[in-house]
Amino acid sequence: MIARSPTVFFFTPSLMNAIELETIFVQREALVTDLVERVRESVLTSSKHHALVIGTRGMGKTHLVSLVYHRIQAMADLQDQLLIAQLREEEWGITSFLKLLLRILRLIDLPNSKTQQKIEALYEMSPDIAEQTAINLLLEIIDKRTLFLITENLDSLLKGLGELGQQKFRAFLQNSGCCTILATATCLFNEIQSRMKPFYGFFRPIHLRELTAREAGYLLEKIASLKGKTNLVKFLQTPRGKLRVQALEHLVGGNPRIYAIFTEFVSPESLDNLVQPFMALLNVLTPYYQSQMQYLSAQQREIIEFLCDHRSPAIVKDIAKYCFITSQTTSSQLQDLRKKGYVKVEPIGRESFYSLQDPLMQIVLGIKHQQGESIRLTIDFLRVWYDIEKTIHIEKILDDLLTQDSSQWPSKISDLIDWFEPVAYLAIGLVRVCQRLNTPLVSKADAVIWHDTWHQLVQNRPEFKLSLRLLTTAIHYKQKPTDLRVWLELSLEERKILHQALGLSEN
Amino acid sequence: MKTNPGGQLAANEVIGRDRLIAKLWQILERQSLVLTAERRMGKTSVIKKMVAEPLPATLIKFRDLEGFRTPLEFVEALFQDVQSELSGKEQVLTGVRQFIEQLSGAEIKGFKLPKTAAPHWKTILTKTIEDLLAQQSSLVIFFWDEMPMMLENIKRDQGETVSMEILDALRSLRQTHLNLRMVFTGSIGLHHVVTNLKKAGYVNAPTNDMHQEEVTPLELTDATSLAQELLTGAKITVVNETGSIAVMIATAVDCVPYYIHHVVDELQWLTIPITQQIVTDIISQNLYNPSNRWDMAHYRERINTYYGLEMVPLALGILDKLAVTTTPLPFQDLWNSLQTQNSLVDQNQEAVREILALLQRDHYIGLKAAGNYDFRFPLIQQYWRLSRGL
Repeated sequence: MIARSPTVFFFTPSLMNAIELETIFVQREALVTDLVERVRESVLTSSKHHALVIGTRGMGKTHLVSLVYHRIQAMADLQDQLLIAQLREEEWGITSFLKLLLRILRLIDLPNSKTQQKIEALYEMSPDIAEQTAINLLLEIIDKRTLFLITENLDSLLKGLGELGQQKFRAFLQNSGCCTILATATCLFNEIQSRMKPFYGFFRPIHLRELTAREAGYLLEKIASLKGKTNLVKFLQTPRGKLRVQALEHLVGGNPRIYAIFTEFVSPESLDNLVQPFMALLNVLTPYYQSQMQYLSAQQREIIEFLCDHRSPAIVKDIAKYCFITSQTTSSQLQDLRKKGYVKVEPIGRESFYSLQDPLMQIVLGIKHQQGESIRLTIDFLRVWYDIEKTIHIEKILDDLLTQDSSQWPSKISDLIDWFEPVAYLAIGLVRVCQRLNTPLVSKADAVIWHDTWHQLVQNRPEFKLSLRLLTTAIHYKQKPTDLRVWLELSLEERKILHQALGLSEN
Repeated sequence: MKTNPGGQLAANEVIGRDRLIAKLWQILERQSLVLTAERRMGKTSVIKKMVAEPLPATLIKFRDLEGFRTPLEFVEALFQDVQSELSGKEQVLTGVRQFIEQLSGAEIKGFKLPKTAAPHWKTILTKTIEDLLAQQSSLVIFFWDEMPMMLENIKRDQGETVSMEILDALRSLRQTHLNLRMVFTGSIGLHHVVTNLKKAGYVNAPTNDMHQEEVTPLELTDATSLAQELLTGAKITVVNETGSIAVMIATAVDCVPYYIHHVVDELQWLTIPITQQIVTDIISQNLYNPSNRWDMAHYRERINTYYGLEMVPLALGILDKLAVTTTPLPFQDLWNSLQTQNSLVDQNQEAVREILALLQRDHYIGLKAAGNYDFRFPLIQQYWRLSRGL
């Protein structure tokens, strides 16, 4: 029995009790309701649903299935018609169908000690006799009930079973017709995707969606509330708190585990500043992301490192060149990395551009090379970027400047750089006026002069580094608005800023 | 009704198959059956509905055979099925029991046959069926799902001869017992298994006494009803288009129930009102996205797997030509068109006819009444055309 505690288990939410899990649950109520209804239907009728929840690590799969488990277990009217077997999150030992049967028999509530003895007796038999005996014993225990099987990392389970084990497992499910399965995986995989495999099309795939900034805010609030951090809850509910969460979401995306970890070392003050807790978050996540690299081959790690350093999306030819591997090998490694959820691909014309799927992985693994300083600057930038009120004044000044003759720009911009404080706001104002720059009110030639002037005057100042990159892409976009390659000059989080600046949809 | 792509449907959820099932029962009254279809067309749902709603006074046994690797495992499963049917009756499998006890010198306990019985699996099979039929005056039907997969597994592990013997033994039983019926179904075509066996010297026609029937897609009206039921069950908001969206989904996926379930399931998670464009986008994504769940690339890969190396260029040539034609082509037009391709000029008409027959059996193409060929499913034609840049 697990003691009630406000501890949030980031990596094993199954250790938390039902109330805690419900308390910090966001976004997926409709999905859980749907899954629970389907398990109910599977128990009460001869329909049997098999769902596969797909999401990268930390997306909340275990949280979700644990909630379904608790809600089903709490349904008193199902109890005499239902058996539940929840496999461990990592079931390394299941290497045959017999071992799967034994594991299930160990997990379900047994009717009496005699049945326990029958299970023990299985270990005295030869494997083929034990397997058939175990099938019969399991069917005898299930009787007219339905077995609700919960299995995480279905890909590992099926790989462990091998082809013969998969065929036997599927045959068992088809012959008995008494199971409903709720499974999870980090991505779609060959054992369920290929028509040559027994489990092709067997599961209903459900892809988990990332949290939006608003949902991430709710999650932070709920976790803070569970932990009794009332000041933090109050701050998160303020407009300023919401802006900080928006800035955070911009950098880390919508992975719930990241927010759960973030609440560990955040206070209203540090959240307002954002840099310190974010750097602490990176520190905590470093071993986690490093461990993710352990699952990869040496060549795949090399490709990931290249993409971390490259920042913007890269084509196969360039990746192959800088990693000293052939294009063919690079392509196949990238395909595997994409299946595993490490990289994503953007096809433009005949070329495919690859980048890391998780923006935070890029930051964490690239942090040594970037010395942390540029990350601090980016966080500072975003903190102010979302605080629109703070830059309205400078935005207006720059807007006016754009309407003046371009010959006056060098001297007036120099003045601004000299007297305007804080200079970081000026850097942000420079990005904000990109929308005006993109209108017909500013000619293409003037836009280039504006770009060149700024580059000349501030190119060595670190606070302007990001703004200048965005400005360059904004100019390229003005010149070739239909060329999607323009956007590949930027990393994902940078692209998001410029999209917002230009008032474009992110798609 | 809830979407349930890939799951097990309750008998009353199997829509649009009543006419087919009635026809299958009629066939089974006179002979056994090989039920063919593309994977995920709904074969198993059809036979499970038949098992759940059997004809009166008919004994039915269903068994998925894909996990078996030896004939003894198959016979054991049959023995177990029959034993469970006859339990409680006085004369339970007397003949087969006596035979096995003579072999092993001990009484059989439970379902597991002794290893010494392995070489005698044919006798045990025959005696098990005989014992059952001695107790049963009405029709006995064995629904054996994934029969080709079992034969393929046994062929791989035990050699071609053993697979051939199983097919022959089953045919012999069908010939001997007038009230015995078998239904073979499977995700790989039985003809591929038999073709491979023939290459190894098999000369018999092991299923020529069985009726071949294909599980086709649903009729448009049934497919539309299914789509409509699923849209309603999923509480999907379709503004002023409910009827037309259901027809559109059914048509766009060639009335295949599995795909209808999938499309509606994806629509369920959208938070915007559903339009025809959204349905089109979902289908396109499933067809062309490299990580698609429908695995359409299989239709290209399967040519290499099941067709001999020398047949591949011709099969591709035929499919490429049919992919870009809007009307079905007569043989002569198809032949003339193939002759314009440098790599295929050496082919003869018989080779083309042979491949056309194979492509038909694998559900790639259909032969119209007028003797014209076209793609069997527009969905696969669409995929083929675009994936091969035609």
